[in-house]
Amino acid sequence: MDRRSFLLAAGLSATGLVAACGGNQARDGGTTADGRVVTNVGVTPLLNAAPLYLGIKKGFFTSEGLAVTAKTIQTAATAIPSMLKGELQYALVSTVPAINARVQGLQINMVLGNDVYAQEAKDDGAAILVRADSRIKKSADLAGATIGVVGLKSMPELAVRLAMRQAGADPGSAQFVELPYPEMNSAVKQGRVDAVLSADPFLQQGLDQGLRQACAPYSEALPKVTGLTWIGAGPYLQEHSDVAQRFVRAMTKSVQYAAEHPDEVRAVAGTFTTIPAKALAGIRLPIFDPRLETAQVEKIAKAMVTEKFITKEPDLNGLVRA
Amino acid sequence: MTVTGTRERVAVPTPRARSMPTGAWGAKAGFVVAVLAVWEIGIRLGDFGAIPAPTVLGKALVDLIAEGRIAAPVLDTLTSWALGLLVSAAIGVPVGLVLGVSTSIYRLCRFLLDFLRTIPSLALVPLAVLLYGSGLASKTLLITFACVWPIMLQTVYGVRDIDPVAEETCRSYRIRPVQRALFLILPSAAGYLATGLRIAAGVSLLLSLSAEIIIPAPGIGQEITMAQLGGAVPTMYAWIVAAGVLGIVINFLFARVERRALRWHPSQRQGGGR
Repeated sequence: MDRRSFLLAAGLSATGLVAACGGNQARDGGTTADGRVVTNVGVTPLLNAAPLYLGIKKGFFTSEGLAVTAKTIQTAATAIPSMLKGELQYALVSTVPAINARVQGLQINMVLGNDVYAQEAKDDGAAILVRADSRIKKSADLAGATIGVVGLKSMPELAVRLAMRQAGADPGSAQFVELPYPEMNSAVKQGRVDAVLSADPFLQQGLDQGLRQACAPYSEALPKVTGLTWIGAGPYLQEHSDVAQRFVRAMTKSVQYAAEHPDEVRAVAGTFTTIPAKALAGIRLPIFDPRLETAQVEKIAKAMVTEKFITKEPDLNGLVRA
Repeated sequence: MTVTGTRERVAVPTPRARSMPTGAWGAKAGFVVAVLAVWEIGIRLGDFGAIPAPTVLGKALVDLIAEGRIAAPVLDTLTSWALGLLVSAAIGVPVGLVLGVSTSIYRLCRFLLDFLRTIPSLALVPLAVLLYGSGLASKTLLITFACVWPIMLQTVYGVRDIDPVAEETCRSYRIRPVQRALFLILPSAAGYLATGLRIAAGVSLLLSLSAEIIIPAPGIGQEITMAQLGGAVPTMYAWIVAAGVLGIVINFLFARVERRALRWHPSQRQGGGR
C-alpha cells in the first residue's frame, strides 16, 4: 500500500471513529448580508470543475438564493472530514472515494452527477500511453506490465483493471505504481514503467513527445458511466433539504450549461486552473451530464469488490439522493 | 562540558562566529553556479524527465514575482510556520524543564513520549481537518505535533547538563527555586534549547508545506499542488525553489540569532553542546 492510500484509509477510518463518537453535527455556513445562503463547495481545479465556476459566473446560484464559493480540495481524504465539520457543504469527487466513505460508515450522499466517461476512445480525455516501440497495443497486452497511475486503489487503477479483465487479461499480473501526471511521460520514455494512464493536458504533451496511445480504459470499460459526482454530508442535506434542493437545481442547470457551451468551459478554465492557454485550446473536455443512476454506482461498487479495493459491497441504500 | 573556570580563558569568539571570509563565499557561490551549469547542459543534451532547465525555471520564478503572486502564499506559509513554532516552544520548554529536573517524572512519561513521538504528524491530517477545518488551525496542530518533540527533548538534555559546580553552589547558598530556574537552569539549557528550536524551525517549515499540499491549505504547498494539477511544471518547480529559499533563510537567521544570543555560552565558543 502506498503512502497516500494508506493515509486515505487510516484517515477515513479515524474520521469515522471521531464522527461516530461526536455525533454528526451538520452546520451550515450561515447567510450573507443580502440573505443568500452561504454554500462552500470543494473542487479540485481541473476542467471537470468548470460547471461550478460557470454557474457562479452566470448567476444560476444567486437566482436560487445561494452564495456559492469554490474552495480548493485535493483528495477525498481531507474533503470528506471538511464536509463533516461543516466547512464545506458539497464537494466534487469520483465515485470510488464516495463509496469508500460509505464503507467506513460515513454519511455521504451523492446529489447529482457531473460528467460521464466517453463512449469512444477518440473522445476520451485519458488514455494508456506507451513507448512507440512497445509491445503493448491494446488492453489485453497490459498483462504483466508495470503501469503508472495517478493514485493507487482509485478510479484510474479501477478503470485499467476493468479494461484488462474485459479484454481477457488478468489484472493481478500487472503491477500498479503511483506516479504524478507530470512525471508520467518521462517515466515511460526512460522505461521506468511500461505504460501510464495519462490524462489531458499531459496526454497531449506525451503524444507530442513521441509516445503512442495504446488504449483508452475508461471508454472501454466504463462507457457513459458517471465519473465525478457532487456529494454532500447526509445530516446537512436532511436538515436543510430546501436549500439542498435549490443547490441541486442550480448545479444541474450549471452542468447542462457547461455541456452545451464548450467554448465558455475553455474560457472559464483559464481562470481557475493553471493549464497553459496553448494546451487549453486543444484539450478534450469532460462530457458533462448531471444524471445520476444508482445502477451505475452499484456497478462501480461491485467492480471495487472484484478488484479487492474493498472486502464487501457496502450498503448503497440512499447513497444517491437526488 | 568544561568547568566554569575555562570560561574566562576562551572569551574570544571562534572564527565560526564571525562572517565567513569573502573567498569562501565566492567558492560557495561558484560551486552553485557550476551545478546549475551542469544541470542546464544536462537538460539540453539529454533527458532529465519532467525537470525544467534552470533558465526555464528561473523565468517561471521571475514571472511569479513580477506578477506579484508570490507574496500572499509565502506569507501564509510563514504565518503557520511561526505560529506552530511558538506553540511548540510554549509547550515544549516548560514540559522539558519539568522532565529534565525530575528523573521520576521523566521515567513515568518516557513510554508515552516515545509512543507519541513516532506517530507521523501527517497521518493526523484527516483528523485535524475534521476538528479544525482546512485552515491555519489545522496546520498549527500538525506542526506542533511534530515540533514539540525536538524542543522538549533538547530542553531535557540541557537541564541534565547543568554544571555540577554551579548546581552545588546554588544549593550551598540556598538559592530559591524560581531564581534557580531563571539564573541556573534556563541559561545552562539555552544552548541545547537553541539547537532544538533551530531543528524545530526546519521541521515546522516542512510540515507547513506538507500540510498545505495534502489538505490543501493556502500557502506555498497549495500553489505547488495547483501548478502540478494544471501541468504548469516550471511554475511548480519555481514554487519548490521558493520553499527551498525560505528554508535557507530561516536556517541562516536562526543560526545567526543563536550565535548572537548565546555568544557567552560554551557551545558557541567550543563547538560543543550540539
